[in-house]
Amino acid sequence: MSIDMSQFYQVFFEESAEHLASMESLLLALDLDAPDPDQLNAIFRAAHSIKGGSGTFGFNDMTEVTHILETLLDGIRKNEITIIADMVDAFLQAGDVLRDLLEGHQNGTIADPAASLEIRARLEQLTAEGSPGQKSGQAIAAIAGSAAPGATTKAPQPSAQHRYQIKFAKSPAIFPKKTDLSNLLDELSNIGKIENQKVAAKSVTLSLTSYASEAELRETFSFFLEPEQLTITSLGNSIPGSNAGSKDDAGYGFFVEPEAIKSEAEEAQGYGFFVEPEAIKSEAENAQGYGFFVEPEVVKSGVEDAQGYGFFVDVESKAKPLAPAAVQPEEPHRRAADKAPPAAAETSIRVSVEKVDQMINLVGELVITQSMLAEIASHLDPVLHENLISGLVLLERNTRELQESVMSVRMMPINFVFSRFPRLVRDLAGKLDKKVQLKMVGEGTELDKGLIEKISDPLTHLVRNSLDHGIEMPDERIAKGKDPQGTITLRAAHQGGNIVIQVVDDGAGLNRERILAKAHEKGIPVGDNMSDADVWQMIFAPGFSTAAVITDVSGRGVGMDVVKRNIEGLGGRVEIASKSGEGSTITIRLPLTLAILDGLSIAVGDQIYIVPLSFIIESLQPKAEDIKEISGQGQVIHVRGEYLPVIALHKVFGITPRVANPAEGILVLLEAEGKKVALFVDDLVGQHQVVIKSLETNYRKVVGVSGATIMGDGRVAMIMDVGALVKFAQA
Amino acid sequence: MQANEGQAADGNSRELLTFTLGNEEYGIDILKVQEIRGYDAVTTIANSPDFIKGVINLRGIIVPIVDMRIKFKLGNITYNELTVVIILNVANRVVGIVVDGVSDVIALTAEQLKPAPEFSSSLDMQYIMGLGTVDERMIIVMDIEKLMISRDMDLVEMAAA
Repeated sequence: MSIDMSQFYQVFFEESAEHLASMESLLLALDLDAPDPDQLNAIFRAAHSIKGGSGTFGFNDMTEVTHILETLLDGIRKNEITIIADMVDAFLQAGDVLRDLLEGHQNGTIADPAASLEIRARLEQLTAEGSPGQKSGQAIAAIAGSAAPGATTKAPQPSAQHRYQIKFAKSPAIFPKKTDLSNLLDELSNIGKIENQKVAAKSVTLSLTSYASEAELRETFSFFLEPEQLTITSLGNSIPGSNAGSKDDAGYGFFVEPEAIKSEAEEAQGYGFFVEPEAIKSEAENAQGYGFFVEPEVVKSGVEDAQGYGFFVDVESKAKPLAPAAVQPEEPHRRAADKAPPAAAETSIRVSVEKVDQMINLVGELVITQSMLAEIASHLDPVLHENLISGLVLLERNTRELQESVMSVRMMPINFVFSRFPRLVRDLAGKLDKKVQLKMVGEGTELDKGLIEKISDPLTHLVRNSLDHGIEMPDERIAKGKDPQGTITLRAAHQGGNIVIQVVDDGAGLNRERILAKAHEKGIPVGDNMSDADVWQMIFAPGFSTAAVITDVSGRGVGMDVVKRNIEGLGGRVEIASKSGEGSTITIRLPLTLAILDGLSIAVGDQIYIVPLSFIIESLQPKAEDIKEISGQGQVIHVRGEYLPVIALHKVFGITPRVANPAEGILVLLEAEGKKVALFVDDLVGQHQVVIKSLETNYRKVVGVSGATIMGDGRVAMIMDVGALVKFAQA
Repeated sequence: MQANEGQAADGNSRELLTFTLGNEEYGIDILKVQEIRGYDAVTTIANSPDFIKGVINLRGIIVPIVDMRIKFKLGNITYNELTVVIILNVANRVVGIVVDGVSDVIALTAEQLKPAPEFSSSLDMQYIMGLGTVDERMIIVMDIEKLMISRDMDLVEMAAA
């Protein structure tokens, strides 16, 4: 019977983290004036699930915090307590405390108990304040009664050990096998320390020192024994009538302290609800009957009703069926479940990223092999090999679909990054006394998981910057005739093979004069006739900050250069558009994935190179008269009113070309880092989707080359680093 | 050969793959050798030293190819269907080297391995572990791993020192 629970810990940690995240996002989305019952239910369920899980795994510190949290939430969702902004703050704080506790358990360290005590006290106070002012009713009285006394006794000693004297009956009917008894004792020793164990013919007595509450002990026994065959006496703090209390205990509220239960029971009895002890007992059996074998996962899932009345039954929900007015309609439950993202988890599995990457690599190989076969088949006589060729066509389609679906496994909605910002903006705006609303557009846009992880820090930096430097103080905004509440918009969208992420604010915009002055001060060469785009790019220089005051939020001038470097490291670009007084837009362009790239293959001499399609504006066959020589500067080409420098790829890479005159070859117009160049190549070969391979695995970095790929014929082709080429043109 | 192989297992001797570069015969630790294959379909790397011929696709892995004949100025530098590439697995990297020919696998005991005298060689002394004699042949035993990750070969990204 002794199950090693630690094997499920990881699942619990992950799920709880998800619940905390969803709770936080729901809390932030909550409209305080007219709270949506569905949302309140979803928040309640998240707290409830964490409580359930932590109770199952014996993380009592978490259970205690969530219990109070849940009590208050339950009052709110039943309209017994009116939600106020203070509560949302307290809930968010509780979420943080829980996250710390969770991390503590995960890393095997103990989180600071002071924080958890503090938040519990705060929640209890809010519960106490919130409830009495409301319309009086039996259920309310029960809640107030249950939460308050439990709170006062629990607060000073959050997880003190209890001593119990346990006596239970022993007979062949109860323990048919010898091992059954030893299993039970094993389980008890997992919970706490067993002393003075006496096994008599018909009964067993022992004393147990444990962190577990009496209810949890009963839970352990209930696998083996009927409640009446068991007597648990608490020695730690002698409570008159604790036996009676514990009898109720199993019935409602596994995680409620005996005191709470007792007072609840008294209240209830006072109103004539639980008059018959037998009735209570049967309640208990029922609850156990359908709650017991429910796995944590199932509890967590959308089966809210079973959850509500099943295993983790607590005082409030137990009282509910007896007070018909409080019964929740069925339908909102279901809708709420649809809304809450974690509810979908039951249809997903957790797979390590390594396994997915391995699959992606293998599919990449498959694609190469397939194109190799296609290449060979193209030389065969189509009449003689009709079947083979049609088979290969089928293979091509299947491999492409397989590749797409494998790639999509790695794709995640950008909401994973965006979801942290409501909290960040809220906290930061509060700290800076600014009024800011955050709008998010296109949270569902998907991109590679690897990119998601790497984009979050730069994006956080940009949002903080916008809030700190961009958005003005409310009175300043009013003076300018703007809405006192500033708006930051996070926008994500697919654009070709790229994902475009924008951070837009309607703040003051970048200050051209201030940037130029600062640049001058720093000794960066500036001219008054620089274009805006060039001026804005200067804020990416290391150590560049125009913030008048250095705050703990930003202004130290470390960051924008790092942001730019990080994003360029991912093969992306950062662009700034800003208008004084109207705000700024920072645009990040990233490839959808790091593993595959759309490229144009070009030929120079006997070599094939891949140019990432995202950098290409157009390709053209130049007319001889459009190409002009500039003495000592090389050639330029005149395209639609612009003069662009011509870079001969064969010169850059030291290859013998087939054509030396640009007028006989092809010019590929490229744009990178805000500059345009014309790349002179021998010929265009075709457009491919290529699997990016690192050169650095077995070799080293090569200037002008960002990676390599394997072509259909099995040869290696280099992928050009367009950014480096453009820099080369400037040098 | 049988006796030699038996000896190899006891740890006193080491098994070496020998190859020729011009008139010289070199030996490298066979455990560093992944496979031997022909030379074809090499993609050149722009602006790399002349002895780095480029990279090949070895079952999906991009492997750089070094021509030892160019590096050590030995042998006839021709590429045909008989040109041999030894694929090495050194320092967690896969690298191919072009040699004139692969001759043998030999076992060399510690006694057979003599320290190399100071002599003028195109190969820096620090990469020579010693000289071995087998059947009247002299084999230069090379520390291939040390050589491959050295600054001389320029194969590995050097920390900015």
